[in-house]
Amino acid sequence: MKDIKLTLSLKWYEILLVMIEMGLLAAGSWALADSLMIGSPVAAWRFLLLFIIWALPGAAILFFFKPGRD
Amino acid sequence: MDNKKKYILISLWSATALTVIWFFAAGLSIYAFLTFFVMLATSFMAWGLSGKVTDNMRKKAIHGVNAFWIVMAFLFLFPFPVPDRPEYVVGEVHRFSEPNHGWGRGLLGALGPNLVYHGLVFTPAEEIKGLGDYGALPTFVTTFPLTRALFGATSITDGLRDNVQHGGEPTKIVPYAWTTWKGASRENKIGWNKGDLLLGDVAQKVGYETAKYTPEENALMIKEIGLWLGSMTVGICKVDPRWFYSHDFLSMGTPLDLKDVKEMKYAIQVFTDQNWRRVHNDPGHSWWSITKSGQAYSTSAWIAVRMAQMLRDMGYKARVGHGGINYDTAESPFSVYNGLGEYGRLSDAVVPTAGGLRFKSATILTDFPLAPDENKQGHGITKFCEHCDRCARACPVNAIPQGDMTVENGVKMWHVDKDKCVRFRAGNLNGNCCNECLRVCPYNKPDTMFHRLGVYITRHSPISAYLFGNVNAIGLEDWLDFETSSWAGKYNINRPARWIQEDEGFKMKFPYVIGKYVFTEDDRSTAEEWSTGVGAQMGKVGLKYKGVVWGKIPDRLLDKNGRNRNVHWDYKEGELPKGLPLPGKYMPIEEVTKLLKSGQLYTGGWYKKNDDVYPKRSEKYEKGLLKYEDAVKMWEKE
Repeated sequence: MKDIKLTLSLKWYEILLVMIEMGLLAAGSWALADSLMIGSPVAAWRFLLLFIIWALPGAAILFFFKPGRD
Repeated sequence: MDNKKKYILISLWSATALTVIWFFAAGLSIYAFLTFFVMLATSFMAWGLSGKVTDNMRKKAIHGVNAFWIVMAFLFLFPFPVPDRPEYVVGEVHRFSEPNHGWGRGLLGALGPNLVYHGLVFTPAEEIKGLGDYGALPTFVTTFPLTRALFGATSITDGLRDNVQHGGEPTKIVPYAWTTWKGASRENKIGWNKGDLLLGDVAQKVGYETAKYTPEENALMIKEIGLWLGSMTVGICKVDPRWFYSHDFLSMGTPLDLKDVKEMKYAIQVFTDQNWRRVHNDPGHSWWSITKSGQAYSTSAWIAVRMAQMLRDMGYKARVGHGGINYDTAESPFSVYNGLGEYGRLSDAVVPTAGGLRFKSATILTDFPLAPDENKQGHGITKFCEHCDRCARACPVNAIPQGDMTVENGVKMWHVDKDKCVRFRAGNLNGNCCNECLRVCPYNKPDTMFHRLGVYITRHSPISAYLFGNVNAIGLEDWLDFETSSWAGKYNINRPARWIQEDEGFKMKFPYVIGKYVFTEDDRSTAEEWSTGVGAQMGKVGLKYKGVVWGKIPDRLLDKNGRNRNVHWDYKEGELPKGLPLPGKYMPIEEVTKLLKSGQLYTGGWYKKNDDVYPKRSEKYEKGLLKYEDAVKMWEKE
């Protein structure tokens, strides 16, 4: 079996953005779980969606807004 | 980059900029706020896919997003100093007359006879007859067996509220078990227990030692006992004598002389949850609504009468006020001045640690020395309510004000149209009372860690009210739409508004006398014409909200006869007999004046002129601007 080599090189500000993105998704998951536990599935979904939407610009920059295209 | 891509990018960024304009133009719309993020992401993605991006551009973009979220996190999560409680008292405050509060006016007949006897719609007259001892029956309370059981419990505890009578209450004193003394208080004070040791958690905090009975120690003990007895939270404050009702409801007009209660310097307030499960899931058109009140009132009452008896047994005076209508005082000021809550748009105190508006409270007035809770710091609730109108939008009869606060009786806050509110709640033909303002309040959530974080943010963050507020149906709570998740679905917010009306052309005749109390022309309801059906389309009836028309009964709620299945539609059309008598009577003004002057009749109401109130107002407390802190100091010296 061949070794799988993964290389990840991130600048400090990219790491910070990744952490922010993860924090937003974690908060969304907490909101989802909390709202489900109080019997509000619609609010739970909307809460999660809210945090996902907030995370979208950061995700778009991380994955698409980078050199090497055109 | 070719021109086509360039134009697409310019269009996307222009659209993103437009969402910012939309956000501010629409009064901080949550939809604009979210659209901005979607557009921003789309623009960056399109740019990245179609344009030339340099390392420097990427770096700047990431720095921008990072900076935005760091600033937002700081603004939302940093423990900014909490603003002081707003100064609500801005003018001359008069004591409130209990017969003149909404329920008093409705049940005693000042709003018309049909409202008083609306229970005839649901319950045969023979069954209602004899259920109550005090004039007109609160028949909306006695319609259902569970409601009777729970509200009935408050009648049982009424006699245990005190062992002496002041101002007509308790109406019938019931001796507490295991006690032989009958005076107001014991001569010899005794301690917490035989060994006089501090108990439980208090001992853990201050040491297992003999009680010194300092006010601080007493307050700690009272709080622990209150929580142990089942109160959600316990508040302690000094008493402002203006909170005492000037006239009593249950004995129909008996005045309360402040001299009789001058030893009541401290107030302990206990709280009972009406329960998220019920409040969230059951619409006002179900019979749960008033039943929830009965549950929380009787539970609070039971906590309070037992604690009061303990204080009396220790040798002190203790007097309980509990619901439904067994209070000596207005209740909400206690929740504000014991530091637990603030006044909200509903005119009531919102207490975050008690489910916002979802509680019922009882109060023990006592001379037992207690250290009051800190009450200078606020909770940001009044400020939040300035940016939130969910309760006002949910009110079926528009009784809750939208817009700014106003001044009534020297108090600057939002003032509910109590006549409209009571007429709908007492006379709701599609249910039993109401529930909507409590249910849609953003503070109405179970006490989870996540909700506590929300309350923390609301309290500390300088921008949360702007983004979380809900004026014009565009706030975070509207986006989350908790209502749709409730068992009754979106019809909770949109139920039919149908309530007992007075006969066509009805006009109340004053002076109207019931018991010892006189309602005068000054007491005429501003909603009197509306009560006869004129302008009945006021409120939200007929308007669309979230795609559903107000006033239309949803099919799934109808029974086979086309009636709302949640209530007992066991009467024939006509709803109530014509020309029902009022429980009180009209009396000529000359005769009334004579009886008022001779002290045989009484009348009150904060809005009346000094000369029109019997007995006369206190020159000391009810004249000029008197802040809470000053009133309390004066009362301490009485």
